[in-house]
Amino acid sequence: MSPVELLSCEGISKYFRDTTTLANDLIDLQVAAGERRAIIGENGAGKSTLGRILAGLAMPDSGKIRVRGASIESGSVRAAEAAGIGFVPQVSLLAGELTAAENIALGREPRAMGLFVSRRKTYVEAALLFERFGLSIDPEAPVSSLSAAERRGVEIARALARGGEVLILDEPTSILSEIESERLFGLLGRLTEEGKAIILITHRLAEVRRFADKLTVLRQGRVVADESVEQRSEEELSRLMARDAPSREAVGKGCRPPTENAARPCEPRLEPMLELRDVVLVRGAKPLRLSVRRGEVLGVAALAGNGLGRLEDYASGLVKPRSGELLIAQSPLDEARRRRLRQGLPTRFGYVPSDREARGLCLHASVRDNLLALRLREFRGRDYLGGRLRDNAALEAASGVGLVAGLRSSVASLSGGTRQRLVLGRELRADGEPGSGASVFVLAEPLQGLDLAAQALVLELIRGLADDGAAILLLDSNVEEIVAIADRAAALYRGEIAYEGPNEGESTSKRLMSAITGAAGSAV
Amino acid sequence: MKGRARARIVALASSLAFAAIYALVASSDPMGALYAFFVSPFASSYAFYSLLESSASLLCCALGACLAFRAGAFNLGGEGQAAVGTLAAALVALACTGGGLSGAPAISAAIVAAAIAGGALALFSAVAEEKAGAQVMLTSFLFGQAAIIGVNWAVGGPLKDPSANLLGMAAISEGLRLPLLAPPSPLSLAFPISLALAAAVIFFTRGTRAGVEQRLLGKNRLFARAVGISPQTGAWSMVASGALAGIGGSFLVLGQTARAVKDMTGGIGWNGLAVALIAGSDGLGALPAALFFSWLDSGARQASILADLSPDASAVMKGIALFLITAASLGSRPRAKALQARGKA
Repeated sequence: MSPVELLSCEGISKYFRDTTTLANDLIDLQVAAGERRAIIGENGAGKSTLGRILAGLAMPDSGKIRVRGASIESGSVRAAEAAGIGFVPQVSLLAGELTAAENIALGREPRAMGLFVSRRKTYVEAALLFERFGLSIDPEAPVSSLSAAERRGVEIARALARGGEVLILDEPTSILSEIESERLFGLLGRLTEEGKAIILITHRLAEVRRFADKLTVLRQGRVVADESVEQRSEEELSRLMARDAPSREAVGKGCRPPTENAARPCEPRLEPMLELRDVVLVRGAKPLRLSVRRGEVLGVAALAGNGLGRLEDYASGLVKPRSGELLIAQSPLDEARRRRLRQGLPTRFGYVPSDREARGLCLHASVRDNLLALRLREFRGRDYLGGRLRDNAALEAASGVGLVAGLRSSVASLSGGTRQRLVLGRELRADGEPGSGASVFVLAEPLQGLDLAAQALVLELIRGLADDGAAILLLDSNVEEIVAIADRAAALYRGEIAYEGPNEGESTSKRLMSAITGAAGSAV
Repeated sequence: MKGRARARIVALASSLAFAAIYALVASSDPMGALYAFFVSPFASSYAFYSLLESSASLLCCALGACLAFRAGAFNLGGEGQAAVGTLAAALVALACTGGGLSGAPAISAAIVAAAIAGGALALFSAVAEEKAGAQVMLTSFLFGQAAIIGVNWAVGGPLKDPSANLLGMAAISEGLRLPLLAPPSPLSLAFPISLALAAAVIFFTRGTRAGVEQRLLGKNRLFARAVGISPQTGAWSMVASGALAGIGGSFLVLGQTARAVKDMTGGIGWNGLAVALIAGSDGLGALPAALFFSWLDSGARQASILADLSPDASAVMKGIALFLITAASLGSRPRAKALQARGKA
């Protein structure tokens, strides 16, 4: 054992019977104090499973975990926490109804007189923790009201509050903007300077280069490389991760495949298909007007807390704005019409939500039912009894996005990236009722959790939909994703449009970055 | 799912073992009690047919509970919905008698009236949820309890048969009773009707679009709304649930008792919930589960007659079964939650 070795695991294996997947196959890993370790791999490579096993959230079939040389009980969160392993999962496990402070204290609430839960101590401790790690989060805010970035901050603070000597973060930046990601890496850097070890689970090679000094590459549950980051080029790494390595172009800036369409000129053709008129996103902000025309991709970027989530609520029609209105195909969208449109009658209205698990999936239903949830009316009685037609339709939808999963498997058994493919496979269909020819899509963080090859595929699909006449509103906290695909780009700052213009590639990227931070100061 | 089914089977087997231990401990004739409990319900065709007949009402209530559970609505008002079903069936049957109607049309009218009454009571809960966000679990329970009080008051008060020496309405005529299938046993048409209803529920849940929508709605309301599934699917499930409980109530009136009496439902609504729980809200599982509960009931009754076991033994045994089944269901929940949160790379 190395004298500085903090965490090690040996021969970790995990087989999922539901999906007949060997997620981890005899994995060995050593992490030293102060180490910045990245675990990378494609969707379904077994990264998150390994993280969950280390954190005691999943029971391995075999293998041992040691912290400072002492063996710890497998499959026990309590044992892992006691040994100093903190985990920030890909899918938030916070209780939405409780405040940020209550979530941090949950299960180990500070006591007054050794008996009663002390609310004051709970909040003070949370506030101190947030301050120490430079997180500007209101400890009294209910978690459900926090942005994705803030929730991630609470998860990290929660893990650290439990004495995390080893902090495992599973795709922590999947729905964070570049600036938020930078802040996060700054915080993680400070933690490693204090001697804590960070394990970053990601498939973003740029992040690996930016942050990690050691990396472990997983492919189909096996370790295929365990070395220092400098030893390999990004191209080599992506080849190691994938059986079918993506092209040089697809590797791009780590995970952002620049497309040929990045700087497509904005063509103000045809009629607006999605319009938001005079809606107020953030209290005190000016009413916002926004429209997406047929055949156009409008990308809107924002930092957390600037109204992007609210914009998604309104544009998807799930929340009725207090003021203003949403028009789809130039008609107001009420609940009954939204339901009809979602079932493709007559305009196709696709929606990929940022909160995949709550809005985008029915976790305890089958893959088939999830894939076909928008097409239930297409099938007749005997199709429901026999199921072959539905199977074929589901297989077709799955193949469109490279989704490999048993149709009868529960969605809950799928990995994060595979779940995202499922949502995209269901939503990114162009055809509405025959002859309608019109489609509208609201896509919020559509690339979250996807590996390089899948991202390239999805960007191609989105571009194809727009070329076929679909109006697409892309809501993304990541500017690069918008620049990669949008015809027109806009930035939200404090609930108002701080920049809007045609996508001109690199220069638009800079304008957006400056606008979302409020540096532009030139509201349109 | 397989794990849950196994857990339920283990729980059922354990509850039988507990029942045997209880019979051994509580009876002065332990072997006689065991025989009476486990074998007597099948020892004669009369006993077996009685068991089937008593399972008919229970199965209807259980099917109703299954439908509500599948839609994510915890309908705790089955008992009250069955109670209003007994009243409605009795009123229509008596009205038909007065009008000179009898036979299949009159019996059908009584059953339909019971379904409407039960469905209407459940509809109140669905509407309260839709309009005011009131929780179905609470409102269905409260409405159900109020309905039981109302039905008991009506049956034992203004609608009481003054010529009879019990708290009940007048007896319904022979021609309005469900035909007996194997006289002199009480087995009536109620049992095949309940089987047909079970088949209908199984078909609905497994072989129709509405069944799939109902399942998706029950598992994730937000998702269902996002993909455009109407929340009315849930409301209709509640109505169907209440209607089935009402039909279960009507079988009590139109069967051997042939009149509506005070406290007639005797817990079939609650037992229906337990059966639905055992069945995992699956219509196919509801049939054996209902038969199992009826067996417990019938066995305990036989044991109390033949081997001096307390008449309350049935309640104790059903309680044990329910406890174990609930424990088995809850035991599998953390794993389900863990699965839900799993996000493998």
